[in-house]
Amino acid sequence: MSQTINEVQAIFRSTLDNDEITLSSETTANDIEEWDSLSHIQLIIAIEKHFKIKFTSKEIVTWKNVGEMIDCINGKAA
Amino acid sequence: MQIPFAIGDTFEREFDLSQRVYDGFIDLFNDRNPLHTDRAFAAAFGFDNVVAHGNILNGFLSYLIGEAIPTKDVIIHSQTINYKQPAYIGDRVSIKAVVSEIYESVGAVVLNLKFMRQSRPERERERETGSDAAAPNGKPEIIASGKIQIGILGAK
Repeated sequence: MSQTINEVQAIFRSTLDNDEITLSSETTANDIEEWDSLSHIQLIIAIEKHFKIKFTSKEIVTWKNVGEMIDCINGKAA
Repeated sequence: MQIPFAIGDTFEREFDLSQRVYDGFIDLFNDRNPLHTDRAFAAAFGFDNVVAHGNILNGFLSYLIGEAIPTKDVIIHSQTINYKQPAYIGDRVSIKAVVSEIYESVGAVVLNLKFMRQSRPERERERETGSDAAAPNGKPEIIASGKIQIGILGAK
């Protein structure tokens, strides 16, 4: 979990051009000003590329926070 | 909605970089930098003529994406264009866009771009009259390359 969240945090910082971003399992889009609908697309693409995985649109809409995103990544990358 | 593309799908259109397009660009955006408007200035830096604005190519790309791919339900997310050769008034320019990545989860598609000069009437005239021994042999040449990411509206 911690390794994955560190990698995802680096993707967030790079994609959103904000090195101050710190993710936790409870983080949501409401906590990060730059995380809007368009940047969300870029984040998902960057994560898919980095971890060499593919999400489905159904999976993405079920995530309530970063923790559920990380769980989904770990489930696919395992 | 499904994404109406597959990897390798290719879309291509040709455009005239005409005097009218060039004049219209200057009229609308007022970029009169001497590289674009002063032949002697451009010649001093080794260019054959005034250099057309690079963003005119961007305008052609806008048409390709907005009107020439199989769906109108499209929005541009991001794009990059790397310029390799100057484009000149009178050039016949083609843009070839090849689907290279598809992200179904977010309804996004990435296309690789190649901008080619297909012909250049002014140069061809000069070559015919022997006034420009250095003119190229008329083969298409790449003038820019790039990448564009588009979103398919309603595909998520």
